[in-house]
Amino acid sequence: MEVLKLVNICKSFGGVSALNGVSLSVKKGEIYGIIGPNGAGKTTLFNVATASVRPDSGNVVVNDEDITGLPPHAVTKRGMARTFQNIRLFNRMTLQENVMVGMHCRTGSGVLRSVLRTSGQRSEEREAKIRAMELLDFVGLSKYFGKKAGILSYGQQRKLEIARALATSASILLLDEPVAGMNESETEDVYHLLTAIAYRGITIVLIEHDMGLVMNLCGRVAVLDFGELIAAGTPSEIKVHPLVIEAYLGSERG
Amino acid sequence: MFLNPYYLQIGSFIAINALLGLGVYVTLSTGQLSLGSAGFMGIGAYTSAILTARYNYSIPVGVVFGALAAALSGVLIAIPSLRLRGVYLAIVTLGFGEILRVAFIRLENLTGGAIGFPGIPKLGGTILERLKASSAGARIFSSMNGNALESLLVFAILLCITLMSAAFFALQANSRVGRAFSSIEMDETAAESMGINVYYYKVLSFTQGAFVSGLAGALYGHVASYVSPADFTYHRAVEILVYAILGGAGQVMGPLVGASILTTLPEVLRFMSGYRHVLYGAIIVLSMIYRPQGLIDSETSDWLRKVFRRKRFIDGGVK
Amino acid sequence: MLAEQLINGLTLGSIYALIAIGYTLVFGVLDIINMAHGEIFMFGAFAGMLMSMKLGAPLPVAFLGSVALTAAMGYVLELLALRPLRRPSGNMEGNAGLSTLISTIGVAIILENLSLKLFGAENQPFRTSFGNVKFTIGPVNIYLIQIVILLASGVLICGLALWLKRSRSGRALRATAESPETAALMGVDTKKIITTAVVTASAMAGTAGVLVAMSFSNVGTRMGVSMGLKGLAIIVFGGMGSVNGALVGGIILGMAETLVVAYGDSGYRDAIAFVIIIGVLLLKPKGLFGQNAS
Repeated sequence: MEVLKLVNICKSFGGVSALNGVSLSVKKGEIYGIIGPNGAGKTTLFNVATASVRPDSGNVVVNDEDITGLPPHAVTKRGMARTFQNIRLFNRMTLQENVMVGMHCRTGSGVLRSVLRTSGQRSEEREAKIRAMELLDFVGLSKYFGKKAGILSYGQQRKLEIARALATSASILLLDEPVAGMNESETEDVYHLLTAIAYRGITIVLIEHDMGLVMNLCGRVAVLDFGELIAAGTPSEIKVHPLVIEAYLGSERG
Repeated sequence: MFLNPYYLQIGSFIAINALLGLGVYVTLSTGQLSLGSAGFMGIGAYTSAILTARYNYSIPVGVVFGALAAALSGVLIAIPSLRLRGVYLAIVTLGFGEILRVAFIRLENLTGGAIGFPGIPKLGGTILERLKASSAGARIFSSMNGNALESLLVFAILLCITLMSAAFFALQANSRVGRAFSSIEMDETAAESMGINVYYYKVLSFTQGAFVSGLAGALYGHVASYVSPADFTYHRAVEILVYAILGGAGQVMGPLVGASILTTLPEVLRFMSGYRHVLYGAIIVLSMIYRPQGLIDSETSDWLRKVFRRKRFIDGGVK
Repeated sequence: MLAEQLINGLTLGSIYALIAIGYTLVFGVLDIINMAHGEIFMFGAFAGMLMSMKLGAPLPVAFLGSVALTAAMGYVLELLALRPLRRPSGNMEGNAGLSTLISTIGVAIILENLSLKLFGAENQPFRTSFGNVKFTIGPVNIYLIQIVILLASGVLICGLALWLKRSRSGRALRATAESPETAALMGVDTKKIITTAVVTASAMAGTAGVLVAMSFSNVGTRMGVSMGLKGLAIIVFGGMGSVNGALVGGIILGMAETLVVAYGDSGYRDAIAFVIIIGVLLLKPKGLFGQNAS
């Protein structure tokens, strides 16, 4: 079953085409990689998928519902969450609070219930705290739960972002370069983390430059170059695809 | 000493100013810098004044409708201003205040124009009359100085309202709504992608700020019994902003501390006569240099909380 | 008489533009609004008036004296109220922009109350020898003072634009406005550039102050706030950090105000600026000339 379908997405910024008719579909439970040289439009594709950028044309379909034109928070509510290439945590909040923000759309206490501290609100808050601790534990950060997110190391911040995205109870996770800037052992940590997430039945789409990670982890890979999808298939197919080889060699030449 | 009407009056103004500071605090808690407090204050004050003085509604009704009128105009400003950021929003809200001030002057039939609106029912006087009307109240209070009692009553009521508002915001800050607010303040894009309806919460926080500012304005009218457009100028808006930032706009305690200090300061500096406001300005500059985050930051606030917790714990232990 | 009103509007507008450019220069390099700008303008007006009327200095000397005074005020403002707040702070809390804003508000409060103490609350007349000199071209009257204002502000604004565009320090200033970090990396002495911007802005406010004092023939301590507010409206309207925007915005506002006073209701004069900016911002959130980059 296809949980995420991007249909013929076009987007240009000030006359420069960033995405030109990109279509791809992601099946439930798979780990789907998106690779391509810098500036190929990968992050723009994520921005379009999560509705933070509106496409010029084309559609985004999540779980058989067309979500094009919905605001980003509504997309998250429909079960798709993301992380950012340039890590966007709430640095002055604690780790636990960061993760609890992720639960926003799965909890419901409004102003009145929050201020009156109704029993419903208190139990919701208690459960949210417990679940936040579970998620922090899952990514291996629970011992820092009361610390401010800003003090974490780079690698830890990436993991916290993943925990925060998981907290939205997303069934589809879009990860923008989850191991960028990490050393080998941290990368391996993330490899195991992503495998564990996929084991829970969560679909993962990831943008990554670390070819080792992509080839080992992803069932299928799409390759973008200059805003166009030039190839899609299994890692072994991609590796020998002539257009892919040319794109990468070309980018090295440039 | 505590019944000295002069001190009680300063206390009442501290309470009102703290309320205004809270209005800035809550608006800023979603990252929105508003200089509209004076305008919202004016809407609250005139609404309540007109309802009570012209149409003989009771003071509580007037105050509530004053605050609601301010909140309503808050919504009307907040929605079109959602796209504005930082100083742009600050200047637009400042402009809104200036437009209102001109409107207060020009709408003479409603507001009395530049001369002002006199004869607003006094909060203390009205309550005092009620109390005296009941025979028991008359017996108790007949022995006391009416003037001092009135001031004490007014102060007690204002203090109560301010502390209740502060408690409201403190409880809200430490909840799902408060987390949504501060996530928006720190990173709107990330907040949005976490499923938070940024528009809704920004309008909510702006409206809450307008509401308390309107509330403070309405109460101010019933304390001073006279308001004029000169009470709701650019200077007032800036003063209110300073209460919140100097006190520490990141914590509920901040505006309370800021308003207390800055309301008392000109009185304390009275010996300086003409130069006291010069010194007042210098103190603001110095405090920003040495404490840019405000007097109360999260560390001081955590520390205060711990001190209170420990005390409560010891009290419990003794029992 | 429409032609006369247009000249009045243009004169007023060019003064507004001078004020607004001062805000824009400081905002460009520091990302803050200098809330003391209007008060510095007012000090410039008083300095010019006092030197000319009380000390009997010739007008050009009074003019230069007041520019020197306001430039010095700008330097002191930067040294005592802006620079100390720019140190890199380890504390993650608090917004540097907000605290600097409040610091300039503190300076505005100091200056405003100092002026009340020094100059008194009453408006004071400023008579110049050529205050009533006017030329009549056909049916249109032009006052000499209007020509002086248009010339002075024209020369200043063109000079500033040229300086920003052509000179080394002007380019450094633009680079700093673009990104202070990058500019610093490229070897720009950002501290010097920021000081230059604040001093230039203040000197322009001083110039505007003397021009306004001459054209209205009187000075008062309250002119600081009212002019300051209008300057703010203009930079928001024209787009923060844009010199062209400040110029166009200033002239539009000057024209609009003059026409409303001449043909409409003068009581609404002070609200016009803000009615215009609210309208513009609702359509273009970053002003007419602001870059709406994502």
